[in-house]
Amino acid sequence: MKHATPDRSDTGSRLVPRRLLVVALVVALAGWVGWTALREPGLPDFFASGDPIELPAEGSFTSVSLEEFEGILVGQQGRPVVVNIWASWCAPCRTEMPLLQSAADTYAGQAVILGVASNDDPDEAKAFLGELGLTYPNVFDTTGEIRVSLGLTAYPTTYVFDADGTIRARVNGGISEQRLAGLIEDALG
Amino acid sequence: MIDYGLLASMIIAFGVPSMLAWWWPLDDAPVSAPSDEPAGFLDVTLGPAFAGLAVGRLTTLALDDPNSIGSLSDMLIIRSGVEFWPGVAAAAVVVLWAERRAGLPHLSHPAALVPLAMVGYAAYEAACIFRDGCFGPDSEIGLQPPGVSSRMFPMGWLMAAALIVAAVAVRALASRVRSRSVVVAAATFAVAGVRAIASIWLPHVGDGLTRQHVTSIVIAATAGVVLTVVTASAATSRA
Repeated sequence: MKHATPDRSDTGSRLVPRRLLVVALVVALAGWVGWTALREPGLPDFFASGDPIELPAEGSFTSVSLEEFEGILVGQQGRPVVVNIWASWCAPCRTEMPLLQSAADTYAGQAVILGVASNDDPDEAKAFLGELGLTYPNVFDTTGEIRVSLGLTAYPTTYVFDADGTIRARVNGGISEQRLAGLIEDALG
Repeated sequence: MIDYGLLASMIIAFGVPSMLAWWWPLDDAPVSAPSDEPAGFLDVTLGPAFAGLAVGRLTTLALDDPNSIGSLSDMLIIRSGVEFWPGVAAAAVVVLWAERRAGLPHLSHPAALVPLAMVGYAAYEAACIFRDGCFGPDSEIGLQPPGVSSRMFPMGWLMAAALIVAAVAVRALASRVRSRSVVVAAATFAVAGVRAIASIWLPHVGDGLTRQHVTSIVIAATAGVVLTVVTASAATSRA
């Protein structure tokens, strides 16, 4: 017995609702995921205070408390500061560090790049810095208070502080060159 | 941590050309579809796309962080960087391999696929708003990326517009010329040219050209030479 072959117009009319459904699903999925991506939590309510402390020397890696960290930020007021929170076990942290080094070299004197190792073993963090040959200053968050006060939710996270010490931006996860350069240039005015 | 911005971009980058393929069907798809319907965009691009991502990611690691090669978890974090052109080259090799396996004429499948692939890349660039924000030169007309006080002209959107125009032109070219090499070379030249020109206005650290900029200039120049040669060759053989 021969089966009746549907003609092209039948096939076409069947395809239209199916295609509309696919379009609706893709738009809904992309819309939901995109909306989730754009729904960033507000910036943390953090403003450094206390006595100013000198910026650690290039290539140094010292342990600091929250008060000392705030002192470092206060000491740098007058120029933007990029604070990058990292850990030696975090792959994207490692990948973006050469970019931060490049930014430290490019904006030397105009902006400060400061690395903060947190939730890590200090010896492993130190070995990690040596491995990468970084020269911009890094500190170790001894008590974990720095990451808590900055409301850290992901590794790495990069904060950009204005020249007056207020947080202007937070980037959760790896930062791109475009975004880093855009944020620093904008902070420099 | 799920990178929702990248995820949204990938859904858009594959979703838009997949739907466009209803009107721009892939007649030379090298897969045997179980139904009477022709193979869709996803059928023929997922394999090459994964190969491209893997090679692009490995290239980034080899250049920036060789110690991570071998650590699967580190390699999988594609947000940390994927070199574009090595990825495209790897994807092209897989497409050519599938074409050869299916016994199709040389370059017939890449020539059919490139307009849709260009639209997919355009969609990815247009989705910049979900990733880092759409950066570009300071401009009265534009968007304000998160954390930036001024408006910037969204280069990603301009790139997307240029790529879509180029995709339409390449598709028109494919229906007019016999030489598939001309089509593929023209598409490569267009994409590399758009990337090279856009890189001029994208923010970057330091005064030198970025790696993306240098590689795109080299690829655009090479594709331009190839395009000239194959166009002349095609004209000679016609005569």
